Amino acid sequence: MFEKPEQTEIAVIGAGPAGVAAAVTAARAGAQVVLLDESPRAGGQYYKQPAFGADETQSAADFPAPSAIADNIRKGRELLADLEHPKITFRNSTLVWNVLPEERILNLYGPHGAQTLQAQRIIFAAGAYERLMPFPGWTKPGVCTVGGAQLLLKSQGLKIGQRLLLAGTGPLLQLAAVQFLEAGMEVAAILELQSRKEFLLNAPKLWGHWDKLGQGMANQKRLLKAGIPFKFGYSVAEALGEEEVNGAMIMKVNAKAEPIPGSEETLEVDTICLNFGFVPAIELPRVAGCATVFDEYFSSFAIATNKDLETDVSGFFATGETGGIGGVEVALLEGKLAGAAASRQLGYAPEINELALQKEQQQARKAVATLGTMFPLKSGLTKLATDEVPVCRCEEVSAGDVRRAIAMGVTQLNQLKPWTRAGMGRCQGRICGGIMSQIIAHETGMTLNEIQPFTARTPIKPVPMEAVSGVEDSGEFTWEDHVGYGEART
Amino acid sequence: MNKLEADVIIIGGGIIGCATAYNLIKKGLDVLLIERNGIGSGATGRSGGGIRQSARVSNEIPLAMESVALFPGLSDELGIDIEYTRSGNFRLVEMPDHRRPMQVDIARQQSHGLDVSWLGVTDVLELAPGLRWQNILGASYCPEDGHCDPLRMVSGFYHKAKEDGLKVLLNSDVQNIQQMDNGQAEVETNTHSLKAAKIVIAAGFGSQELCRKIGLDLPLQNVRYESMITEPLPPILSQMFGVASSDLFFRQTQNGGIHFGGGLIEEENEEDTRTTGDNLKMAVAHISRLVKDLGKANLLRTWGGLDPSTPDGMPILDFLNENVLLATGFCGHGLALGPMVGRYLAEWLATDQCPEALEPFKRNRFDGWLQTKWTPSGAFAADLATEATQTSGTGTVGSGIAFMTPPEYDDAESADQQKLLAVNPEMCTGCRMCESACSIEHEKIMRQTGLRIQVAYPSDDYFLPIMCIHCEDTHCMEACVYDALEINDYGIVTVIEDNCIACMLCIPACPTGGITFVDSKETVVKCNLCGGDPVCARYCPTQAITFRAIDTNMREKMDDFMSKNLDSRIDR
Repeated sequence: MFEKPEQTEIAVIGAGPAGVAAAVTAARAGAQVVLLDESPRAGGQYYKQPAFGADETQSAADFPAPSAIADNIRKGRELLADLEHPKITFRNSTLVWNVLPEERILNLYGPHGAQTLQAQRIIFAAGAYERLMPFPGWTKPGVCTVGGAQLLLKSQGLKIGQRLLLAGTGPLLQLAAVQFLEAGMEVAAILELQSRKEFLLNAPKLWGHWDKLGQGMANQKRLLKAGIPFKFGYSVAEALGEEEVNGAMIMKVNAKAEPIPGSEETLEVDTICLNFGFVPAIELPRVAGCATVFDEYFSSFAIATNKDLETDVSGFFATGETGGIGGVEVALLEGKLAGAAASRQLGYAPEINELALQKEQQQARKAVATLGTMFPLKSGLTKLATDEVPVCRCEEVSAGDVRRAIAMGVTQLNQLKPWTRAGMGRCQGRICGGIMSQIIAHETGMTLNEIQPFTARTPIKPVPMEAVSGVEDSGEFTWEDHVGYGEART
Repeated sequence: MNKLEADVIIIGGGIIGCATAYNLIKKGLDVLLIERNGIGSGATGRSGGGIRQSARVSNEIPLAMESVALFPGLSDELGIDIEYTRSGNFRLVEMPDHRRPMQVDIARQQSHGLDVSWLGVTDVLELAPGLRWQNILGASYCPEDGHCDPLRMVSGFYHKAKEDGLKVLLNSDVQNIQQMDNGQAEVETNTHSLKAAKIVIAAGFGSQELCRKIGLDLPLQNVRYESMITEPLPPILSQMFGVASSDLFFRQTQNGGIHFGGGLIEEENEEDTRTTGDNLKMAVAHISRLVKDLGKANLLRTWGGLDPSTPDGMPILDFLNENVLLATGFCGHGLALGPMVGRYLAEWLATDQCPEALEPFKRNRFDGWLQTKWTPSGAFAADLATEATQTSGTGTVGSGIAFMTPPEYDDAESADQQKLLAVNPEMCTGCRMCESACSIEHEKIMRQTGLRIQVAYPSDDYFLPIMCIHCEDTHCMEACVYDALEINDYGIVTVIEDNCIACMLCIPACPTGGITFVDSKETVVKCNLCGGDPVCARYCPTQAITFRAIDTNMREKMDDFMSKNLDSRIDR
């Protein structure tokens, strides 16, 4: 922090659809852009590119993936081709672990160690995490997120298991099930938390959003044809198996998503994939001091933005999922808008019809919001997490510990920390924060918007001490340990 | 508006508030605790967890010894494992300049009956093999000290008190405190109106504001403390560690994380729990120098916030009026005192008799204290300031540097004379307040290296602040070959940082040692008189350093003093 940081005009954090769109738009307008991403390849989770290793010439068609995924990869590759722009520097495998809002400095840690980057405008496009709900056995090997299983397929062409159970709520379940089927995996069942009645009552809301409706219908049809049971009003209640999953107990749930005793059934599966929607990754903007807003459609906190997607901290923009769950269309539109607004503030003239884009973006947001209302989050499901079930995995805090703290008067996530150490481990509450706020909501009758998320703390993800201090730790230095010593002499 | 009544209302759910509540409940009183955030969310949550008696101000040592004696039984008493280990406390000495003051300080602590001793580096390494020997000269060691988990401890007191009938108002912010005609006092919060005979203010950094509400302005200043923790590591350290310069503490928690932090930065009275980038970097670099192989470990989380401090490094425990008892200003070392202070305060509230042990902490010790902005300082420095005897040191002493009888200053000042810093070593107590002030003024952080002013300890009873005395000969400028030093409008030599390549030719050229090298800046630094209001003179408690007009007579004396010094250097 004393050495002079590297300078750029615009820094974009996250190379998913939103980040790539923002970087490309700003660079085409003439601004110098640095695009940062934690993973080795651009594309984000949605346009995840396969890990071909050194052989980048291999075409997407050769990739052993089902057509739905190959199609996705091809689309992503087309988008990423735009990154080949002289004004864009893409810094992969680089974690942004801190932001100093006054100076607009980002602290980076990547292949070249610790670095600092000072940008005149900063665009957050960090995407979202999957939301999980705990139940007995959810920490066993064999339980994973739907997105995690998809990633394995997209990036490595690997199957997560032989016989899968998909559980949760939302349209991703069907979409992923189709991909898994095409990849040659067996899908035992899909469990949707919402009841059939509610779903059918809500379905007309999609009137007019033909593409969404069409997509859903096509997936449904495909699954029906394969004879996969799609169970409304069900949830997975327990992961069975000694050391790893070899089966799942499923249960019917009522309108509040509370499990109905006596409705237990057992399925033989080797993998349980979960998805209860998404939570925006907003740690970095919150460290920068950006105000949050509660996204009631997806029951999560997101960053508040104006129509230029600028946050209340001037010079900082939030796009895509960071500003509320929106999906890929919203991300692409908002990326363009933020890239245009940021470059315009720096005196460039982006060649983009912003008014038309804004209109399109609002429509897209509305459509996604409709989807959100169809798959509401219900805290009754926390009943599945009996007192002995761990909810904070890093610090090994059980649901019972959390409930006891609530009984003693805790009403906020931050207040849980001194009692239970929950949220103080490696994940910093990214996984457990959402779960515990639901437990608080269920136990106290509060609504989720009253329960603030854990305070975002620097570093937002664990980072080596030497990256923070800038002083490399060589340990007890000996010549034998010195890499390349032998080669140098011969 | 909801109304509630109790015998005692406690404002603040930190360690002091909770321990007092617990002891009052044990005495059978009806107690209500108000907390605006969460239990232990203030300074208690930012505590380092050190449970120590050593390295304290003399007046605090008896209280600390009593309190530490309670700790072994605390886990059983509270019914929660507070992770207390009595593994000893080290105060590491990293710089030769700190060795002698530390040994003087150890003798002082021993005179209070404390089992504390000086250990050389080999002895330190034997007890704490996780340290890097390269950067340690020795340490003070107190085997009776230890550490615990502050959050578990505070929630233990709170749980136990709540089980026994403590009434609690969480998420409630006190707006006003008023005395009523019937001898009771009224507390208004944003949700409730409460009445009680006695009110305890133990609100940490919010206490100053509450005191002002009842018309009292006490010398409390909120100071920023920051904590950091690494991921769980295999056990490498069992003791509690501090450093002689008071700007770092560290310990390994029971689940393996290295919990460290410290750093004092002057801060406005606003609560911001984020950490500041510079301090984080300094603290991480500092601990990496002291503990082996820490560079590859992951840093997990950092947090920070305010804690009130007093000028003498001791808390204020006193009644502000018939109803309101204040217990705050623990200056970052209140955790270990908590259990005993809680007992005494409960006794005081129940009997209306100030316990003997709390007499030194009354607020009347600040009567006549000038309400000026002051620089907070660690207990170590404050103690030296009060205890060091003032003796005259003249003649040639110490490490070959020649000292002469200090110049006699006359107070005649005239406006057209240039004002410069004048030092009177006879007045200097070696408290190093000037170092802290200078460091905070220029670097925004309390540091012990690369200082523009540094107090030398040539002998046990002779202290001398060393800095640029702005001589007319400007040997430094002659030595500089890169034009990095120039005489500014005020007539003093300043460093042009862009030109300086840190060749350090000017450092030996200066006869007083007024130029130092700062590795973080990669330039040399020297006194620039703070642009006309030097903080060292402003904060010097004994006026050993003064900013005054210098006449020809004095100029000559100073030059004479210097030339002797220069000669002695050349001789060597």
